[in-house]
Amino acid sequence: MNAPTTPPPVRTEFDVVGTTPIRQDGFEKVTGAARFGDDIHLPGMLHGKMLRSPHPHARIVSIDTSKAEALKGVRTVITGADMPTLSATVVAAGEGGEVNMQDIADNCIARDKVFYDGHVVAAVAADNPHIAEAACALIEVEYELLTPVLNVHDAVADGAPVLHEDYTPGAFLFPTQKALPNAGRLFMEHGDVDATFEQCDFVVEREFTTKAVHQGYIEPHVTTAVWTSEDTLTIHTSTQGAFAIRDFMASFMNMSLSKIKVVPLEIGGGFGGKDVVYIDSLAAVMAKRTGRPVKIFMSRSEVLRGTGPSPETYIKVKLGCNKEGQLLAADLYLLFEAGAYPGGPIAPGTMCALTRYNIPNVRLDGYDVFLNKPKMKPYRAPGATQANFAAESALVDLAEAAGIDPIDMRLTNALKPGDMMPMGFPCPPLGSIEMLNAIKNHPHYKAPLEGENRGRGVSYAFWFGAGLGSSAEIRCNSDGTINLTTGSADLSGTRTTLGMQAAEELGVDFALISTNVGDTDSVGYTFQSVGSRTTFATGIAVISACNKLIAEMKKRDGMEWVVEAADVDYAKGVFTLKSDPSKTQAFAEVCAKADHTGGPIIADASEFPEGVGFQIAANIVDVEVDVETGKVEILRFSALQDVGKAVHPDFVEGQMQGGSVQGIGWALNEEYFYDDKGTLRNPTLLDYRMPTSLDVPNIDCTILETPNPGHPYGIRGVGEVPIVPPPAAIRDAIKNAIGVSLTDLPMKPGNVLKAIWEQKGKA
Amino acid sequence: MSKTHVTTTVNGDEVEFLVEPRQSLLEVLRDELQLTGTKEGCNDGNCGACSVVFDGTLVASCCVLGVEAEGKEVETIEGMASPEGLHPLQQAFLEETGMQCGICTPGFLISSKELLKAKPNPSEEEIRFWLANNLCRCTGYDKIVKAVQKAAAVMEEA
Amino acid sequence: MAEKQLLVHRVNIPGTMRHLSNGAEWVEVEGNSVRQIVRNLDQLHPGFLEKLMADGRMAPGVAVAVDGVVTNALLVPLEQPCELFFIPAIGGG
Repeated sequence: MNAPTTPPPVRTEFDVVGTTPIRQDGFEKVTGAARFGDDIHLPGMLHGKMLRSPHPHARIVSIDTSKAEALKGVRTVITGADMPTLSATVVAAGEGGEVNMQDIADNCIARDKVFYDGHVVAAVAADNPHIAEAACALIEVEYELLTPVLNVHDAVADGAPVLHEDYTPGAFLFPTQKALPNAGRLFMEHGDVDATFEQCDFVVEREFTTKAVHQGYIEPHVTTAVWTSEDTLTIHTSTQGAFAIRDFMASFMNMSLSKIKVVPLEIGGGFGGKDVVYIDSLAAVMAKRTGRPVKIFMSRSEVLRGTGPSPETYIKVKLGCNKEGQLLAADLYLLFEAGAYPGGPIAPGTMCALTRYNIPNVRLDGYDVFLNKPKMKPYRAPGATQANFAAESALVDLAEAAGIDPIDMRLTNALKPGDMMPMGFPCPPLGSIEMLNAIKNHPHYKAPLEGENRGRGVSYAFWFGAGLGSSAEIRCNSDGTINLTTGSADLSGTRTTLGMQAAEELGVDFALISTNVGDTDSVGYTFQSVGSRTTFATGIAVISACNKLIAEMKKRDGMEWVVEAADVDYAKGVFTLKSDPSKTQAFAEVCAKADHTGGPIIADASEFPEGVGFQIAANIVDVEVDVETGKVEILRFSALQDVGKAVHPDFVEGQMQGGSVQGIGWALNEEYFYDDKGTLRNPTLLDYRMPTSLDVPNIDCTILETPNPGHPYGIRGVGEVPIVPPPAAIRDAIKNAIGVSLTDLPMKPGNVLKAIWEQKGKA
Repeated sequence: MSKTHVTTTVNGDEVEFLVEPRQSLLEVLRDELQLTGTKEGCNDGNCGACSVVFDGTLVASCCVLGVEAEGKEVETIEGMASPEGLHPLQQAFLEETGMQCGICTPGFLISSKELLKAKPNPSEEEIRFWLANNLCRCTGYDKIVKAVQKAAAVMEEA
Repeated sequence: MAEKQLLVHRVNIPGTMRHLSNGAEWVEVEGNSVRQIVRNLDQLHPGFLEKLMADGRMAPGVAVAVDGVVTNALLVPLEQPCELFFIPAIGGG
């Protein structure tokens, strides 16, 4: 490792990559035949429901389940006391922040304390969901109410009620010398921030807040557990990672990994929220006790109350520059909710706040704050949207103070390949200058915008992305067709883009390849479909398997001519003898003879790629503000993104458009309302209002391609960064439309009006 | 709770089933008739994933009771394609990448089918207005609208 | 048999752990693999091992960058002196 090597050059000519075939699982999706988590019906199946705490912070004194158990049709009732003892308490699961298995198990069902409105305290399995729900209402729970902690400032204040007397944060998060209650800390500092601020010509200091928003997948969480023998368990579920569910279940059920099979069904949206066990262990325990399969399907209000949103935050930014617009110093103080248990997205949020700029003196002080709300979960570039809103808004205000165009300020300070990144290694290839110039040259940016209360805004965003491990298996059939199986859950079409990479690497028609998402019994360990890693990392595993296949097939071809594999060339579906190019065999011919050359031709690969290509994106947005009502209308929206190499350009656009609209909802409307008792008041899709088709215009997409040398085709992850820039861009547009500089999300009508009136009041 | 016998027509076929009064049409379709193409997203009429045509009207099947189906005609996603092939809307959703995870797709297809029946040549605004009761979290709606526009054009020509 | 020469590397100490290294941002450490470097660092400044590693693996939430490349290869032999950074493990959604 780290021997000086030159990576192989990135491919630049493609036959399959860059085309737009219809996805292989499309027919099933448009006919309703595709099997999602709730579409499975097993003989004798029971239905599970949960009882949830109405209190945000309380000790469970007693639970009486007798009336529930007596109800006709109820087969079993469980509480936290009925769950197995964990086999392992701390496991690396790769997500930023701390991973304590006991915390996740306690989040599934409380043991002695409940930590949020919606925390599960009991579960019922019955003949049908109505009986199960009725039974839950008959369970009697005695609570001793405890003082709840409901916002980040109260949580870190001296004397705050302590949620966890005993917790082990990760290596970067530890209680500070100030002995803050309820928080872990991430601290990074380079240079001399305070002295440099003295020397800056212009300095701005701003405070920003954002509200919690949910990932909002249309399909609620669902799982079906069935014991196939006394000690083997199968879980059918919609998940972003079958192997991760297996890992969690092995710990929670105290079982061996090989005794658990997780079958990933089609998944109706995840965005980071379906990467963990919520109901699988409850279903498994109830299935064991009843001897019947148990399905649990969460209601929408359960999803909103009990599964992690992305946190509410408070971010203080101080930014300073010289007359030329060079950013000299930055100081960020970030309080991000972690929710009921440690491990929210403070780390990625803090590290993405300013990483796209080359600032010599930086202080980043981030806190993972525990409080009586659901455990926060990743939502598509976790933490980055909030941090970007604060940092980009401060930059725009600083540029205004300095009399410099904000895009020019971004260009002056843009992180370029070779520049030192805040975490201390040089920036790999990144098309930052190209991206910023692309904004300036975009027809949208240059188009005139006329009319009252209309304005244009811009923002620029950065996200890391993950590598981590994936496995792929590729098998030739005797007719020359190919079966490809990977362990990556397919959220939106990756089984097709992985098949396209296989077709490209093998030099054959995409139509010959049949792709499949494997369960945990049928393919090697594959990390979750998160962190924009699937097309990148699983793609590398697929390419690696293809090259092993080609090597084996060269050997098989060689047998026809009685030569070694080294004497055979292969290109675009044809094997050619090096010493006599007239001696060729087609791919299908070699497959047809497999029986006579050594048996079925298969290859598999597991890869843990290291060269992740970072993601950058930008938005240009035009808005019109109704100054009577505070309503902000999006007139025009353009998304730009550098994807390295677009495997399926329509799918890439889909990611850009979907993430942009989620970002628009985050910016203008979505928020969690908790009352002062800590109860979530809007756990329905009527009152947690996500964008509809009428709320947004077309999202115009510009795809840039700066190849990532870490992938043979230059691929970068694409799925996450689109959600990062919209709130900052919209805030900028509103500022240019009506001269009001908002600092709080969402920029809903009430908040916009308040800001307009405050400004008038000052005038 | 005792069950009511219901006879109804689903996708042109006469079917009968027993249902408790408290069961929704959505539940009946999915659990009694095993027609799982219609999806549950919220169970209170706010997401459109359970859209079906009920006696000629576009409805959220989670807000209709199973017993109300007596003597009525129900059209679901399973009845949209014919033995000859996919409906132009289904084909357009495939060609225009009008879906990502696919969970909202049956609801959108049913809603779009009714839209094009009522307005064979809708403007973009009319499409967005009509489809505003169907939530999609993956696509941002852009390619869904384009798929409906494509299907409208194909159906006009036919 | 000639012994393989022990390489000397520069290890960057994260801000939250500098109290263990007497405030030093950089420490020179010998070792032929990342795991060996961490163990040797702990010999020089006790306390690092329990913060950075658990059961022979990187502690949850911690990743390693060798000369700017994030890697999981703790035991694979290093070929030349390097700069080592510990960074929070970045996942995603």
